[in-house]
Amino acid sequence: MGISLKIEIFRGDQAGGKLKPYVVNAKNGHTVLDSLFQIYENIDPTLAFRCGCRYRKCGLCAVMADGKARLACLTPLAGGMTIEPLKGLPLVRDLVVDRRPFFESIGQLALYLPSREIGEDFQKVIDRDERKRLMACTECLACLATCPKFNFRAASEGIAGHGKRAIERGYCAGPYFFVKLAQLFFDPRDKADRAVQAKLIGIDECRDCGLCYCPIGIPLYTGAILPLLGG
Amino acid sequence: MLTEKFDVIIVGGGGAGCAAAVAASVAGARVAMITKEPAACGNTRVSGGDFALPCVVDGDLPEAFLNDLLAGGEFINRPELASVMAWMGRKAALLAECMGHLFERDAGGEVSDRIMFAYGGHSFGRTIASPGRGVSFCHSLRGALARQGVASFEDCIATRVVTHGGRVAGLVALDLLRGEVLLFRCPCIVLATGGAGWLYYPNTSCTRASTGDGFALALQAGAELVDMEQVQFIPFALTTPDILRGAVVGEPATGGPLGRLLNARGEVLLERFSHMTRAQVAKAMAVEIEKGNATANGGIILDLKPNLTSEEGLRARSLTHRSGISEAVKIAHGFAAYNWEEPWDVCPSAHYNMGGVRADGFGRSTITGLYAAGEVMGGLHGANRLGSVALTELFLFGERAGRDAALLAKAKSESGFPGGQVEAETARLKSLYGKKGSVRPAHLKRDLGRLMWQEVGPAREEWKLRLALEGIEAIKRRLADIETCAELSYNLEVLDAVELGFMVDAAWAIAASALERRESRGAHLRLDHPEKDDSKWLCNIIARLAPDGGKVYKEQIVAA
Repeated sequence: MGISLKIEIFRGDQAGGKLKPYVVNAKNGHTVLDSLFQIYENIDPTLAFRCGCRYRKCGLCAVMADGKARLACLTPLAGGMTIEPLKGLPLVRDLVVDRRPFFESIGQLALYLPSREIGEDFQKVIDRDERKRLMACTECLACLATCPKFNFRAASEGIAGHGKRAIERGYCAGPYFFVKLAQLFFDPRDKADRAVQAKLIGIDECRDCGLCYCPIGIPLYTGAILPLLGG
Repeated sequence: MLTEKFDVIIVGGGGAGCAAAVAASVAGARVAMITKEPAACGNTRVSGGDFALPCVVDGDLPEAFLNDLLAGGEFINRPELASVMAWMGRKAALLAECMGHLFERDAGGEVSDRIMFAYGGHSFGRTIASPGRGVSFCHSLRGALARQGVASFEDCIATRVVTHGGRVAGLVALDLLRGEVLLFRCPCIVLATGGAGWLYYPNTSCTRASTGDGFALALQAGAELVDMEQVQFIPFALTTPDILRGAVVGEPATGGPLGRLLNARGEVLLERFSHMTRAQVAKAMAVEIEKGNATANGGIILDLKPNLTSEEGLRARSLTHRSGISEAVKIAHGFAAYNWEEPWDVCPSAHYNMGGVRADGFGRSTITGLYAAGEVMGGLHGANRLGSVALTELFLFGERAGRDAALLAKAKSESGFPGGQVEAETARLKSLYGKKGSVRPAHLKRDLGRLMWQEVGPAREEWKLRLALEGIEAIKRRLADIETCAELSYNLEVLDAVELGFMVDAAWAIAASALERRESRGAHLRLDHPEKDDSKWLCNIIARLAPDGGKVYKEQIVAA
């Protein structure tokens, strides 16, 4: 059952690589992730890819499918499709990007609320829809691959130098960081000036851009970037 | 080889692991977290975010919660753990918010009884939701780790607990990004590795990382597991497309007042099942599937259309949609099915392990320095878990284990270190790269998944369980003969091979315990012993590995 589809997958690492063709047997409803499993299990066990929950929630399987940043588990497989790692992110091998620097950045940007003692009762907090919308972000990092001003080197340097200097002109750290900053910006319990932080990591480059997108529909520009810009 | 010293090492980066890491660090310990995925990317992330929060609604006293836990667990809960949950459960929610999480609030910004609701088995509105669901916890978990300065080793899989003189001495791990062996020396380890749903792949709702690592690490270190036979299956999961198989799309309550389950011949299997337990419905389906009456995709037909003729039925549909549990039906079967206008087929899915590492109220296992917290810890839920208590468990026992481990680490003097264990493990790991053999680890994982689903599934019998034990032994032998590629960087075959080593031990514990418990109780249903038997089986089933082989036996429950 099923039909044969020819697709191409990037094979390689930071030093270089190329697109390799594969023929997969696709049944109705097959996704890109289905094909990655099929290839790894039955055709080419050297393939490297990430996968967690298989259905939309964990954010681990983000890839470029025909040049668009998508979640592999949600992308229907199509003949002739080209599958590549997220564009511009540090590559480990094949479709696996290095996510460790993004954990580091949480500390560097203080992407957390201030410490406090555990109380006897819950704090009174008027939550905001703007915050709730952004909390659905699965941190898949796909949006970084859609940002025309994102550059990993510049972003890393900018974030590492945070507070002491701004990110290099012409670049921005990318929508993922603005979502994380905006989550706290809209959190009544937060104390830091997230708009100033956003400026330091290049949000001014985002004015009049609006090209970034999220594979699960988080409103990056209107929901995170514009509010941080003061709009 | 990189060798680092820490006071406390947390294995596993989900809710319990992060709570333990933060608590140990707050208590003054030097803490590292080893997690084979990026931190907070496991089942905590994909959960619904509903958290059991007792003592909000009037009349919801700890005694009431304890009664519900014990009744739900059919009285084989470890009493000490259930008491800790009943009396301290509220604190877990306060702790979660201290770590940065924000639960639902009413219009006035308060946590009040207006926003609490009751899951099955809870006699009060004792559950609170989280805006953004499970993934919203994970923003705070990662943030709390960073805030506390916990050293995080992501994409590193712990492969062996090193012991010396019966106490924890360290840990061997594999850096998956580089293919390098890491060695850690530490007096205390908290296992927070979650469950083993992937043993039933693809019939599981759990993430790929749920391969029972902690169950096996504990067994290999000489610790005991309790009630491993208690595996929770949720009855209604998708059967198609392939990648979505196992995705949970409903509970018995989803059936509404008039839902029906039909076999492939259109015969009614079950009606009015919304108040039945997950296990009862899953069993009825498994028995029918085994009879050969399943659909082409190996499922049972869920027909919810009759509900649309009744007000109560329409309300049930509304609640189901609002909860978000059946979202995936849209992708799999379309809007008509999502709206209950058309039936679709479903199959039980392995969802949670009630059993696990035997531990006390501070997560201490029977091996000094070895702790367990979260799903990997056994005994809190007895024979069946109440909804939303799993998330509370993460923070409650994660914090307690982390804190206690930090205290123990301070009190301990430097112990000797057994080089032999480390050398053997390092050699084993290196030999997994570019290994010559005759079976690929991915295929063995599939074989194990089929075996467990067929022989240790929702409907069990002695002969099938014996077959399972033989089959597990056979897979263990074949594991010695796997073939892998030689890539050093992110080698999925090596990851599969390491995990398979854990999975066969966890599988043995589940099958052997299921064989031992000769009754039906909670999630464990034996077709050849269909009744509950308190006269013989009001006890726990203990499993451990001894030098001369695996041991399984029953043990009386001692009151707290």
